[in-house]
Amino acid sequence: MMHSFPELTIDGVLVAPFVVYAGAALAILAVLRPFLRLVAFDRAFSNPPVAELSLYVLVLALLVALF
Amino acid sequence: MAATIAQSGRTVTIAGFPLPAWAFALRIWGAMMVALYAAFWLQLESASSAAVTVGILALQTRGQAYEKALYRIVCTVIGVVASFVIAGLFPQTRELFLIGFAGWLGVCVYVGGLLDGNRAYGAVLAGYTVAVVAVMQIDSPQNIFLAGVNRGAAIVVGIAALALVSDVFAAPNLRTALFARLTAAHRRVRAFALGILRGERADPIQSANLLREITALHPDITALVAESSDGSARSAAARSAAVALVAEVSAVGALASLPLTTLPSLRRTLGEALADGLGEESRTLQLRLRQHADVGHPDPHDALFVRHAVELLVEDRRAQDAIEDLEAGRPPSRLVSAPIYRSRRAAVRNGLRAFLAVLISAILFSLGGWPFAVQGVALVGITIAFSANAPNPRAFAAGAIIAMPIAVVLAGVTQFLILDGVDQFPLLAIAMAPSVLGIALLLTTGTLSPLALVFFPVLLSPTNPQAYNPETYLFSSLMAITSVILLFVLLRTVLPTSDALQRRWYLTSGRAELRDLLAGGRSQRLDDEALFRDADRIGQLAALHPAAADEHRDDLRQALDLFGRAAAVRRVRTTLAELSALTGGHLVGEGYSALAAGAPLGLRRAAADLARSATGLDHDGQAAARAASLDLIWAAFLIDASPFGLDPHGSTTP
Repeated sequence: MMHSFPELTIDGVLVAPFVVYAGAALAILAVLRPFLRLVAFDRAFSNPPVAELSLYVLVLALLVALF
Repeated sequence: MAATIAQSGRTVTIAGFPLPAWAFALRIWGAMMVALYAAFWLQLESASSAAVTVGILALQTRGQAYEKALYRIVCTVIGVVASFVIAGLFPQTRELFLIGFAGWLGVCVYVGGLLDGNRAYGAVLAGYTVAVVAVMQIDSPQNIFLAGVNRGAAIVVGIAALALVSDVFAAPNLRTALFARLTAAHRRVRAFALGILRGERADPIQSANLLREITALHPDITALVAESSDGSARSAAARSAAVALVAEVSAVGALASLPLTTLPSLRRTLGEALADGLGEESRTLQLRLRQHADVGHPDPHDALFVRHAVELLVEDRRAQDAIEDLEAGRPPSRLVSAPIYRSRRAAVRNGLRAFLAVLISAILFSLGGWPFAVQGVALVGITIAFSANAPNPRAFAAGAIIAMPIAVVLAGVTQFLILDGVDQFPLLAIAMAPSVLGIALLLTTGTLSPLALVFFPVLLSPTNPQAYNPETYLFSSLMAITSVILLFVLLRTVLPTSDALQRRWYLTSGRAELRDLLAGGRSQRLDDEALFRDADRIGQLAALHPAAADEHRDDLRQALDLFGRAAAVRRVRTTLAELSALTGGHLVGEGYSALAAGAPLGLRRAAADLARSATGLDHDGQAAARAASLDLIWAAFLIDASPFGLDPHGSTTP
């Protein structure tokens, strides 16, 4: 079965589903930040920015796969 | 390219540039190409905006770039909405439309003038986005919506590309740089304190430069939040350190005002503790000082010395701890804010100038009757918005006059000599490399205005397929160069803000605030926070180009005098309020009225009365009364020592 993507329409303007996913993933990551600080996420990796980027991609992929 | 590799000490340089500069240039080029490729692949109309975004966000550290990116997205949205509104309000009348744009730009420049760092950039961006989105489409308003959406999409692509490249290729962290700068500032503050304790005289230029060095860190401290998940804790720690350092400079200034003969042995011990970097003995020293303070001294100078020495030690320890917290990513023990000072008059003047500059350039360009005139108006709007954000707008305009022709020549050579009709992306990437790398390398040395990196992709205007239209290139280049020349002239002729004028504004506002403070006006800020704001004003005053060294020194001496007096008055009010809380409002009335009157005799009498009547209080009450009494004496001492007195009207200004 084809996976259908939700389309956001703001006052007649169609917004691509990917933009919604990307924005939602960013919001989720922002909400996760205090938790990441709590578990010392930054200190667990030698290059924390790449780790955070990977986490973002994971959340994004999860959103695309689930919704 | 002939590359020379020289190794001197630990710095490896290639063609005269150190390796980090090359890494920065390569990251910028890489990000620009990724952004362009993605924009072409997504078939965005204004793909070059993605490359321009990378050029604008070309900052050395990740934190700075991310914070700027955040403001760029949010303020572009605001600017696009403003474009719709302005275009919708004046659909058929170009004159009103241009006045509307000029007014909006003026308001945004004014708001930007009240902020600093990337927030100020965001404010002016919201203003000049209207130039890019709506003014460029003045002849076809039906396209404004599409232009806005395309610009927004291209900006997001540019930001994503830069974030990806910065993350993967490990762009330097802001926190490392900030840690180094705060540590260096702390070292210099200690050296300053040691000099004073050894008996050197306080040079106003040295004190002001220290305050300037500390307060100039404010934009970077704010940007730290965007860098990592523990960014807010680190930012709070850095803020706490900066505020403590300013308070430490203030305490050193207070010690410098006291006679050199005060408590020589304590002076020596304090100096040794500071030189030692506040080792274990500092706590014992602090304890000793507190005992000194509890006992009380018959000589008020000794008592005042002890009080300010305790403050110096406390603030030094606070700064040290907060710098360590910054490195460890811990929130500091004391959460403070670091308010900045911005001259409202300067902001109004900048806003008005932007408004008038757009109107004047619109009239001149329409009288000229050139094609692409609207592009010229938009460019004047953009560059005047950028200039309002620069610490020195005139120097910015002079830099723009050099940078713009360089960008024009590089874009022309790249487009018509190197590329000359090719349409493959790899060739475009290779052709842009020398220009982008060259400009980015020069940016790291500060010899070239950042405008060159922004306007090179604007003038090259990569599209898919590339148009190679010499006419468009010629007219765009002509407009770009004309607009920066016009900017240069307008900044000098329309409401010019000279350094002398700004100096006067800074001193006048300092005096007015001291007057308010004396009259009983009090903000909700902590004393140290208000001190930071005052220090920011002195930092800006110190940054102005001095007319003559002596005049500069006099101005700074006056400003530091106001800084010290305001700190003393705030302190008296705080200690009186603490005493009032302990005694239920008794004993403090005389202190407040003496402060409002501002006469040294009255202040000393109030202090003596307070000390006398405190004998009936409990231990805490007595300590608070002693502190309040000392602070009243300190305020009286400052009036006696100052050539201007506590009455702010009494000061003379050149």
